[in-house]
Amino acid sequence: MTQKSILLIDDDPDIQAIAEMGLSMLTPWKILMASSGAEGIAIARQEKPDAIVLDVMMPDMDGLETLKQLRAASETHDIPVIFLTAKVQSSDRQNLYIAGANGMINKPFDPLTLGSQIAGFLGWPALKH
Amino acid sequence: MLDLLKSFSSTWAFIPHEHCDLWQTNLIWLHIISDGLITLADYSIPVMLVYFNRQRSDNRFKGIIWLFSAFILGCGTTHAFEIWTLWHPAFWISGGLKAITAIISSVTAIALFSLIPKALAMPSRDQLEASNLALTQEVEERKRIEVELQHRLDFDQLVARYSTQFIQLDSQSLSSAIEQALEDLAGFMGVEHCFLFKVTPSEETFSLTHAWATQDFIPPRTLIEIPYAALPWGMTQLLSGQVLNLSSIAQLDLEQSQDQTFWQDLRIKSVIGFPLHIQGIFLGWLGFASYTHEQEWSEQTVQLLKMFSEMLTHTLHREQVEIDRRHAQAQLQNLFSKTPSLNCTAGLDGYFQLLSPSFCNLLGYPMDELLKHPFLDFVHPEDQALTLAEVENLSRGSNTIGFENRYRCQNGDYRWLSWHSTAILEDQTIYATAVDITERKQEQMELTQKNRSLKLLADLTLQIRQSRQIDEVLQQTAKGIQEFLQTDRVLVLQLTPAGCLARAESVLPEQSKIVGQEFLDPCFATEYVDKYQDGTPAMIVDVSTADIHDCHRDLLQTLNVKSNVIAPIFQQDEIWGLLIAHQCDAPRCWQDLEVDLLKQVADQISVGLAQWQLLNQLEGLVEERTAAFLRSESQFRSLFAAAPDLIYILNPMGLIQTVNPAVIDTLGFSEQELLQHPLPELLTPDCQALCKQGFQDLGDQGVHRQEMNLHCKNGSMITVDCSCKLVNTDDDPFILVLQRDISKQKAIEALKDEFVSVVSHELRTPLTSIHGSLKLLGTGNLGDLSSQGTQVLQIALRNTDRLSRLINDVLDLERIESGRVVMSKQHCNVSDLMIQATQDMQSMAMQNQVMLRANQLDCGVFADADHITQTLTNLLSNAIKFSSLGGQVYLTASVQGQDVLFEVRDQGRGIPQDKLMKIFERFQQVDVSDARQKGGTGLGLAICQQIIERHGGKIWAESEEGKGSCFYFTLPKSTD
Repeated sequence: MTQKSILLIDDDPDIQAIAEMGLSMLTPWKILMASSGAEGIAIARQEKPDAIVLDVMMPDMDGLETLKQLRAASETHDIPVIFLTAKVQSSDRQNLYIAGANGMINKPFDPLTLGSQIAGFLGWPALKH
Repeated sequence: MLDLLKSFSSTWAFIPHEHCDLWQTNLIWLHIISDGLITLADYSIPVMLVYFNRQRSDNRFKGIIWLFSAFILGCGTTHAFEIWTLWHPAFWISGGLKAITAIISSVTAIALFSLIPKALAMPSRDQLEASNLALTQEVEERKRIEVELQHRLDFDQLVARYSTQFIQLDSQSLSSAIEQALEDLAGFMGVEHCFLFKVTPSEETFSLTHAWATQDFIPPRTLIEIPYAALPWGMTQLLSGQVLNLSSIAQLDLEQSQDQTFWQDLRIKSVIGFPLHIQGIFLGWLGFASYTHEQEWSEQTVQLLKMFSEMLTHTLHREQVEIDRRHAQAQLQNLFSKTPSLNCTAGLDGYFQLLSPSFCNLLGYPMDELLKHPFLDFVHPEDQALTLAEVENLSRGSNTIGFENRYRCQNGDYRWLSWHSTAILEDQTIYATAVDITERKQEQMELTQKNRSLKLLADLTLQIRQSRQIDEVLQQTAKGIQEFLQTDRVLVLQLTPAGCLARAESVLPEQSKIVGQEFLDPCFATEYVDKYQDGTPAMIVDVSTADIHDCHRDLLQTLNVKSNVIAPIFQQDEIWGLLIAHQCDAPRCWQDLEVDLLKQVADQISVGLAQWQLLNQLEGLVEERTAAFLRSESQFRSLFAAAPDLIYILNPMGLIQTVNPAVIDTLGFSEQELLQHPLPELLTPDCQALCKQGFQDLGDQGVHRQEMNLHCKNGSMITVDCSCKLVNTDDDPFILVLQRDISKQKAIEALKDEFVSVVSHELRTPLTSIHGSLKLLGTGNLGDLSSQGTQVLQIALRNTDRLSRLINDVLDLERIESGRVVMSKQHCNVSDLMIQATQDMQSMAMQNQVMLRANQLDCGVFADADHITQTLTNLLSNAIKFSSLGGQVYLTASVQGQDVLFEVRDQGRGIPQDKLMKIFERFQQVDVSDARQKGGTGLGLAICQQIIERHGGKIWAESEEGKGSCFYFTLPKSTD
């Protein structure tokens, strides 16, 4: 079985660190990191991760736009995307799903359950703690 | 030869002739007997010839017969002298006789010579026989022709005789004459049976009407009625007008077999039938039948009988027409005599011909009287021209429907008749029926009079109500009544303390005017007026004989009044005056209608007087009100002008009629640019569609409210909160539109949204880092912590959780309050909501060792399931938190009228009464330490209240300290 890879796109280095730490600690996945939408798209095209965890509110290119570009590119259009969002308004969430989101994880998230939540959305086997 | 001749004449050879006989006796006797017989024969022949000649005087050969008679007599005599001379020699005599005989013979020979050609020219015997035969045949032919001629003559006489008879005879005698004719014809035809069949009304059979048979012959009984079907071939012949000539029934064709059977069953040998056809109508047929032998009828006979049958056809047809005519006439007569209708016939000459008794009864004349005069004499003079015109129309073939005229009765009255007539131009006769419509006409006239009266009353009432010129109205009233009553004077008298004043008058020119005069007579105040106190009008038919007070009579006679009718006019239960009609030429019996009119007009004047008085009082009031209204209107105008909101008045089509200055100031358009323009044209395209729906709502509900974007003249756009109301005034509905500029408010809201969004992100992102870091520390994977470190870590984690909840609640509450959270209401099952909430809270309940109990309610609510679940979980969470270990929390629901009542009950410490209302406010908790100890944010109940109120429900709490609390909320029950 090949190791699954996860691309985490978030402009906040603290969040990046917490998330990476939590995932590394509790999952066997390879964690890729990007600090902006553009960087994330470039890595995604190159590395073809098994899933992308994407922050919604980012400078320059927000999560929604990043998702649209990922969906528009043939190399990345079928990569599952799970959003990390501080927005709880249902209309915002609805827009993300309409744009092609595969799941939604609210901030603040628990780094210890982040991997399980991602696996749950993607239908991957449950993780062993 | 010469010698021979000389010997004969010479005497030498002469010898007595006895010597020639040689004196032989026998020989002599032979001569004697022979000569004797010759003599006898020669004497008898002339006798016969003379007899012949005498008998046949026309004999053309008499002369020669006489000569032959003389010659034969001479010869006989010479032979007699031959005997004589035997004994007596009288030879000279004998010679002389012979000479005479010779001469006669010579003459005879010569005469015969000349007669020979004539005799030869005479026909021979054969010729005579042939001639004789021809003569005989001719004679017979002549006899036959003579017989036929006689036959024809007899038949012609027969036909002529019956023609005359048939024309002259009446119906009954005609029948006998026909039977006699049949007898004569049967004899003429030489048949035993002769019959006349007529077509029955069904036109499927013939019926025997007349017949004759010889005395010794009994005709078959079955020959009474013959169905057409019994004689298919014969019927075809007869119906096509051909003679049915069957001289030999035995030798008919195959196609005539059915006819043959019919005739043979009757034992008829020969039959001949003649159709009776006239003007395309088949009346029947005349038949002759021979039962004993077959008969051949000559063409001549057939022609003669055809003539007779034609004559008979005409006779029968005429008879039938006559019968029909008599029948129709009898029916008409019957109808005329028995019908109650007014029927008549009249000639176009203008005289009645026939009249039903009811007609005579109606007019009262004897019938003779009506018949002997032109009917126009009885018509009302005013209707005569129209009646004459109607008769003209009838004579041109038109029909009369509902023509009305008046006929004079014997007593001088007139009756109105409505006519329905038609004219038969061939007969020059008008057939008419009439209906007596006199009563209807009278009713119509009464109705017309009543209508006129009502119209007059209506007109006068209108004048009285509409005009405030009392004298003018009274004058008009008097004039109207005087014209209607056709009376000499109508007067309005007003009572005064001293008598009365003639306020208004309408009077004929020949009568004296009294308007304006005051009659100073105290009796007006007492006897004269008192009788009108009950409002009843009074009349005097004849002043001269009326039982009235002297002063009253004097007054009336002064005014030359012969008759009057009076109705009182009241003002506030007091008699104000009198409305009076005067007849000055003769006494008059006033009709009820006239009296009623007078009273009603007087009543209307009374009402008018009250109205005029009231109007005067009202006038002051109106002036006050008008001033108030003007003030109010001025205030409104000021408000309209000064209002910061945009105000429009639209017509029902949506066109702008009026705008306030705020519209002009805000949008930048001039008033001229806006007036008569549709309001929707000011809207942005996306709002125009909404506006269309808005107009529809306005029509349905009368009001409409929505946000709209408007274009300003400078190209900018403003957002307005637009309220519309359809104002239905009696005759001029309009739409009032009020727009409040909420552009700034919208901008602030957008800013606030942005703020909340940023705050939400900016607070949560560091919180996520802190919380995540603490969580990672807590795993021990980053190094072991001391027990105190672990305790501090737990405190930090608990507080980050609390901070996280607080942020969520603050944001939730803000969004719900601002209305940006849309409640997606739909039909939800109450039990489903309760199960969802209890399942969500089950783990917490177990953690707190609290028993969670819920009932089931199979009922629907119209709600946003997520938010109601959030409310229920919030209330359950509170109940669990405030329950003691082992406590029970109940979630129940029940239907309460149109609502479903939810109830969350715990057995905790309860809530003090003074806190029951406050706990729904933000950050209000029963105990300030609760937030810290129970982990609450102090916003949960505020959120619940917002959610429930957004659903149109109510939320409240009841509690008894120490025993527990009960939180209730209601939701509208859904109708699905």
